[in-house]
Amino acid sequence: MAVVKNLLAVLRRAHQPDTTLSAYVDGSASESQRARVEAHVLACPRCAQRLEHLRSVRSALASLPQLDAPRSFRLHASDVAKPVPASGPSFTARAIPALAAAAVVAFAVLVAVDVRGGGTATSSPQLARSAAYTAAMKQAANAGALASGTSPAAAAGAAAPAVPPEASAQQPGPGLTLEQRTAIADSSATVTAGGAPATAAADDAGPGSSGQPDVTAPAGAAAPTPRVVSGTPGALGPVTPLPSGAFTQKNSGAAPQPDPAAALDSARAHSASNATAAAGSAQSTRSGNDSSRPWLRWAEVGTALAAAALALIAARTWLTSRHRRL
Amino acid sequence: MNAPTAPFHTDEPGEQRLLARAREGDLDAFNELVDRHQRLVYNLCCRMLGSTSLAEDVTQDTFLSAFRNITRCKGDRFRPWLLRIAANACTDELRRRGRRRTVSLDAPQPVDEAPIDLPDPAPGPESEALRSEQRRQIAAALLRLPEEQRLAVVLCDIQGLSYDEISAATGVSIGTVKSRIARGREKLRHEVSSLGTFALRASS
Repeated sequence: MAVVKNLLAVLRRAHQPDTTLSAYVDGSASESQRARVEAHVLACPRCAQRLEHLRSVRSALASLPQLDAPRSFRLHASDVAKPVPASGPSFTARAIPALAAAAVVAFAVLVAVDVRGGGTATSSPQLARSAAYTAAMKQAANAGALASGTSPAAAAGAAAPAVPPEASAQQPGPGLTLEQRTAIADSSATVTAGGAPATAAADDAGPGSSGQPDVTAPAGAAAPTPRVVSGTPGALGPVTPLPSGAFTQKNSGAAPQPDPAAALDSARAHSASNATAAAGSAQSTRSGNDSSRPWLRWAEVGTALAAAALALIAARTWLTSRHRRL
Repeated sequence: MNAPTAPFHTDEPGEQRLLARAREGDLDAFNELVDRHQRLVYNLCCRMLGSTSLAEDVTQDTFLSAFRNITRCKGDRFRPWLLRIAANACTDELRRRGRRRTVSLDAPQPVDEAPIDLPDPAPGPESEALRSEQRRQIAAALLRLPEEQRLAVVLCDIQGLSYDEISAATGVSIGTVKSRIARGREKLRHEVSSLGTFALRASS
């Protein structure tokens, strides 16, 4: 008998948690919980008082009056017919992503126009193309690293896959004219990205380049593997160890180059083939050729910045509105 | 025990039929549902917002939003779904109001109208004054609870919903509902008893 009493005393000593007492008051405690509570409160005045208080609170709340509806909340056909301005996203919230997308498209078009601007007498389009692409990728990686603090590309979650140049499928055959081959090469240097593009400013540009950005590349493609466009296996061979002198010579050979895009490509190819010597010698090819269409470059910078800013705003709007969805 | 055993109103005759018609855009059918639930929604909004005029607006918005999204009400549980819309609307309203003016957590939230308390229909002995004072205090203490706890306590102790239905209306597990109710009641007990004017007595 004494043993049983002791055992009960031990059981009763354990104070009951609030949730158990609360559920007990609601009659929602399990059978075993109920038995424990009832046994415990017999022996524990403190918990008995807690229970009493809980009941008081509960009945005080239940005694709060239920108000009658002040009027009918029936809907009228006129209420329902209205559009949904309050519940849907506002006009600006919808317009900003669209504007951002438009800016991206405009940027891509401008770059395409820029690069495609005109055929040039590049003697080795195959080499120029591969090297230019590699250079663009490197520039992109640099730009991504530099702009990582400010570029919204990462924040916007924009996957920016480097689109492999279409020309990799259609190799310029021996039957093509020089112009055709050059056109393919030029188009392959256009790198488009799904996300927010940024411009790699002319950080390696010397005094001759008048401060204009010269290479445009998507900042979102911060970590793409620089994909070398493979031509025929034989054509790929001389790409990597290309001596920088070859390009310099080539470019200076085409001295009265009328097209800035060609100069740009050459500069890209150059910086790819020899990164250390690039800065110095690229200036020589760039200066004097780059300034013929400055508005194009400024437009590229403008659209890229606009796209980046709009994407940032859109991302922020989206983040703040997400938790309010029903 | 007097458990909150409020039945689902969806069991009421015709509720399913009305819901089905409302889903097809039948405004009359929906308005029948409004008639059945407007008191519940309005009272919930009153207790959540502490203002009858705000509650009126939010109640109207709730039904408008419910009608526009009625196709998203799956299954036959109209009431918890409706209460969820109302609770979200109250949350939004409180957030808007919180942005406009900072409310001290210690002071009772300012209520721009008369306290929500009906004059007792049968004014009796002097204990009536005490009871009314008690109600005023508990209603004010309720408004100082964290929003989630307030919602759970209001649905359980004022509207008499079951844990199951509260769980459906708030979108959290029954365990979470239990703990919110328990914590809310504990705070209320502490607040009201610390006022020291009287001991709450179980009176009903």
